[in-house]
Amino acid sequence: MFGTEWPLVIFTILVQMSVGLLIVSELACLTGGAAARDLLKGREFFSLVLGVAGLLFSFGHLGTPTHSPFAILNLAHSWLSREILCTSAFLGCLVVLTITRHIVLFRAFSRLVAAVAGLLGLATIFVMSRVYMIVTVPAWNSPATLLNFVGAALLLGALATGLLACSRWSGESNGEARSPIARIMSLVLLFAALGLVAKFIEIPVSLFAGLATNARGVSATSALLTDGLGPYVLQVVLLIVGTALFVHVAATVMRGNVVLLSLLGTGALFVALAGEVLGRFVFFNMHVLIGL
Amino acid sequence: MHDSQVWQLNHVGRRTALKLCATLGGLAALGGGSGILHAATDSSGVGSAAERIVTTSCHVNCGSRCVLRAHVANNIITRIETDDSGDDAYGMHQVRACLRGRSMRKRVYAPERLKYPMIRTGKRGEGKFKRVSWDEALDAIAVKMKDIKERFGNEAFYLNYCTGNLGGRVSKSWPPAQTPVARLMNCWGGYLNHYGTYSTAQIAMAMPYLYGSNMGNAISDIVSSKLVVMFGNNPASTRMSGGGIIHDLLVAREKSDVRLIVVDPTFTDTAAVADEWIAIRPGTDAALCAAIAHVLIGEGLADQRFLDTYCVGFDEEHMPAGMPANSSYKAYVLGQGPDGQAKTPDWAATICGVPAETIVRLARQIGQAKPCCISQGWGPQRHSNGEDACRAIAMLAVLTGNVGIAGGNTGAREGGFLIPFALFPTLTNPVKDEISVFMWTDAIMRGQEMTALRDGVHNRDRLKAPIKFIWNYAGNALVNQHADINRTAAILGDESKCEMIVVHENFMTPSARFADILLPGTTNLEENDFTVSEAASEMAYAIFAHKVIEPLFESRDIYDTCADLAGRLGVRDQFTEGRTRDQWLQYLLEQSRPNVPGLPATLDDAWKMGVVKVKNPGAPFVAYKTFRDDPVANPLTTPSGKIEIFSKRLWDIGHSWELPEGDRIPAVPEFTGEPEGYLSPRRSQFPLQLVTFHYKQRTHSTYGNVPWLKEVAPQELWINPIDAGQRAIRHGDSVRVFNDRGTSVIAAKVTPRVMPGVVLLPEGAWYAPDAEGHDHAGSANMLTTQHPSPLAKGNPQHSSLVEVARA
Amino acid sequence: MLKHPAFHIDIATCTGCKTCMIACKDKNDLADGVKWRRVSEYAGGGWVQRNDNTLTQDVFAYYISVACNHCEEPICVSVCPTTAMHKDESGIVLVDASKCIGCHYCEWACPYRAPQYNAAAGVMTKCNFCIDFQREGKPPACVAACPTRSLTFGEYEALKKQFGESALIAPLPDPAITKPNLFVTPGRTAKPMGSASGSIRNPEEV
Repeated sequence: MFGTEWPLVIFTILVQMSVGLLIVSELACLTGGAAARDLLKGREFFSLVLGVAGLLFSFGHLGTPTHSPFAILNLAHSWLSREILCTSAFLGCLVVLTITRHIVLFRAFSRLVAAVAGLLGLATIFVMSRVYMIVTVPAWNSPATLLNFVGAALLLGALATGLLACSRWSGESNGEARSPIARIMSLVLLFAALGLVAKFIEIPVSLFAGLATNARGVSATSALLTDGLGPYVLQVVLLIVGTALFVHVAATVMRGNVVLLSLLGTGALFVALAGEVLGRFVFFNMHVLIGL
Repeated sequence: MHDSQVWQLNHVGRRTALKLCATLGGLAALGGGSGILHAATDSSGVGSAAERIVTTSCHVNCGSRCVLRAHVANNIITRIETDDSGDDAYGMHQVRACLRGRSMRKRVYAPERLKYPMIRTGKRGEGKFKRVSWDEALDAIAVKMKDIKERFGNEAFYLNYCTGNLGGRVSKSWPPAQTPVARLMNCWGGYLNHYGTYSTAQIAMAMPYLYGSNMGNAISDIVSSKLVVMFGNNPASTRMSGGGIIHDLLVAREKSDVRLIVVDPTFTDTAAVADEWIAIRPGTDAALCAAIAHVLIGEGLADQRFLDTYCVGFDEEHMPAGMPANSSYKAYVLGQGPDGQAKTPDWAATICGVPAETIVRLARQIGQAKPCCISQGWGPQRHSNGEDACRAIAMLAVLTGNVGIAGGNTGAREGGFLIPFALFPTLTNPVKDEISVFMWTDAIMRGQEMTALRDGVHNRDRLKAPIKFIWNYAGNALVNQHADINRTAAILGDESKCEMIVVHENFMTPSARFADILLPGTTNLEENDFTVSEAASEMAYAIFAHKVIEPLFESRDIYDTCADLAGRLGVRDQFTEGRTRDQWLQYLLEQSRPNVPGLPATLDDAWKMGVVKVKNPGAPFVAYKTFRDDPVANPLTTPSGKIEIFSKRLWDIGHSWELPEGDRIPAVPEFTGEPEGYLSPRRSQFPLQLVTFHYKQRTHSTYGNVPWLKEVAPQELWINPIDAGQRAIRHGDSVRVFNDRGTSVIAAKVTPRVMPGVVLLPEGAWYAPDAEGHDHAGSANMLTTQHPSPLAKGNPQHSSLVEVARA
Repeated sequence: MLKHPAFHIDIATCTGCKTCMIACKDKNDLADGVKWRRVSEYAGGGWVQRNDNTLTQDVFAYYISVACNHCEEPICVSVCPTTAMHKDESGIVLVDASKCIGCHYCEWACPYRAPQYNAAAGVMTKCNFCIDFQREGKPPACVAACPTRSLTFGEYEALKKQFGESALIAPLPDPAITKPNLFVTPGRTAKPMGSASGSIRNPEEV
């Protein structure tokens, strides 16, 4: 189960997390004002680092990475070409965003650039899901794939945003009901919840899509339930545990206690991340081809 | 297991009718021959080196001989193609090699190739050797040969069954009497010979008691049939050549669209192109046939006039003198004989597993189709009760009067069309003693105890000497293909019994590991030779196989090896008669030219020609046609001159031979339960019947080391989903197949294509024992018995009970 | 060279001997595990054990040899990000190894499993219809090899006239997906496309 496709597991998760971090953190700054911007300072850079790391990992999947410039030659037909273009555009935009935020002269454009980056990020998630929605792979060729990727982006992006904010929170606004951290955390919790909802809608949809039995007598769902049940269940448990842990962190922050917040937040993120990684391996193992 | 010794020479009588025009077509066909130069193609990866195409062939023991066209550059084979001559019109069609022939370069360049002569240093079978020179090796052999001859005589020398180079004309490895080794031994006092084959021991022995010989109509003759019923006959696997029987069968069937029924424990590859499959438990063919006979007799579908005119022993009115009442076949079938059991469809159904209504339906189809071709392969006979099974199947042809007519058959395996090409002369063996091909391990252990009446020794009441010296040239029956590998290995492991084993081989096979002296042989692509078609219906051919590359490493061909050894034994001049290998080939051409029109005059012409093809000028071969046309003028070679349904000779044998408890030799083809069969009490311990089959990966064990073939056709144990489910076995699981003789570990193929209660293991996988002696290659002979069949003293390798469990 | 070459396979006479697979491996010198042509064994049916120790069954099995069908709407070509996978002027689908990035995407998508990855070279490979042989006027290696003459090739229009539309038999996928240049003569026991009565029983071989 874990033998192949790990570069793609890491690539898709990091890029989705990158998109999620950008969108959730930008929205948090829009609603949270200057205090929030302070707490989430450098968010576009972290997003960029995640995305670039993901892209670098994706090369591990290629047999001949030196030919990769050719990979955008088939935009007319290939969703993979489009994915590579979108991801590159998104990351390029993050570079621009990082620069505009650091150079006073361009700061005026940064809000526009952030908006473009957010849209490109959403487009990347969409295109990325279309890469896997191949007509000959029934388990992938369903809305579950999009839900899966959107859910991952929201959940991981929210958690990353929350972790970033927590790590900088000094507890100065202790006890204030509408402190910047509390407002960020509310938004983070909202998006984490949305992410989880997407995940829990995705699960039955993908299992249903995976029921199609191919000519080898194999269906993705039956293979999953016989050979991959352990990782599958663990994935769900980890997602719930990670989110619960984060709810606890958020609640703690909002009540004003600051003991080991960063540590707990980090823990929450990593538990959820582990769940996503496991889930992504499960996803790639659901590649059951129709036909011969 | 060898496939060709009873291949009928049914061209005899029509050789003068061969048409030159047909031959010329064959010449034009292979106009290319050797010497054509052209640039290598990019995809072969050879670059721009000049490339030659050399006509050669595949000489293994599959019953066919195929054309190979080797591309060679810089003394390296780069590609193997096959016959692409002409327009492939049937009758002068292309002799297209099967997947094995096409993988030949992987075989020639296999890492298991023997490079140098070697002498054993460890215990026998351990596989420890040291490199020596050819002179040292041949000196050691000569010294030991002289020593054994002095102490035991020439009767102690045995030429083991070896069919790895069956197709060669000079390098022929079987039958022993046609090999260069036999010529050597015959120059020097002779050797203990064997009769029979691992392929056909029972049928080749038993059918002559019925018909005087063992012949069948050509498969192409089914163009005239209204129905074809094949018992255990699977040409799609056993005759795969595109110039051989499967092609003949499919072409004939395309013409006539005749209905084809396959009776077999397995849904074979032949069943895949047949109209109906009737699944039967192994070893129960005689019961099924008796029940079919019961229906035919009961419903008036038997051809009484044919039985009265052409046969002896069908009913009480046509029995040899002096036999007890109710000994006839009819009495046996109707339950009037000593057993009192009517052989009704209900009786047979519970034994065979075939529903009674299916038996009745099959019987009526056979009885009503005029003419009907009843044929059998060699699976039904490779049983403890095989001598009766093969005659019982033939009885369906006899009962319905289908013998000796176009569209009918004898119930035996198909015949064909051959050309009378000369054999390498091997002189006369001064030793007349013969043992069954299967009894050599016993002859090592208790040679002088073996007698004619107890052990089937031919031409002498009791063996004069035990086997002390074994020649094993191009064969793997020393260990792998003989039954009960563990017993064989133990017998060979006793170095005081058989004192020397010389193996001349291409590869480090399981048998080669048991050599005392191991000589590296050339493959047939490294020597000049001819090969001549065998299993083919309407077109015969000879392939002039030109040396493709120089011998690899220190390998040498068998002729030169024997000549050098003959020098050390003081018989070099008798052996060579002053001829080199090529001069013998020239000699064979000269001997053959009067009989086969169109043959080239010189070797150079032969190499250029590549192949000569001869179309059958007449109708498809019909066995015993002259007997059918006029039984008085053309009697069979049985004592009565008729078809002996009741064999007085077998009656006498059955009443005079010393048989072990449970063994029977009945005079009419009766059904007898096997010591390891469906009815055996042993099944409570080992409930599954194991049968082996010929697998596309190998010809017996030849090609068993080619990775391409293992990749496309891996070794697997076939097991029915019902049996697999009871043992929690899933497709691909590693399983143990075992009984009290041995254990083999292999992956399971869970498939409905094998009946419940039966498991299949393709024969020939190279025995690969671990430290505990368990095989890990799926080598079937870990599980088979050395208890011989009653009459032929042959190998009952489909009569083995086993159990299977997850490994 | 044909204008629009297509394969035809006669299931009624194919015995599953796999000579086509080995001829292809030899001609193209394919690495271990790379199979440009594959012979699938489709089998099914079941057994009933009756009280009188007899058995009834409705078992069937047949083989289907498939390399690349050089489809009219090749999914491998449309998913390929680099255009390395392309159709040439005769409709033969080829890989341009100088462009291929080895992303496996075509392998994921092709329902005939035609694209076969060469790990050593890091690029996808596949049946090229022996375009070199065809240019010399010779048949593809697999066709020339077939001992039972079940596998043939020819001009698409001629084959269509002779054999009708692409046969809709199991275990082949719906031809509407890629429009394969493959004609099939069904055998006696052929099951319709999409049938659940059998399955491919030799996944380890293809």
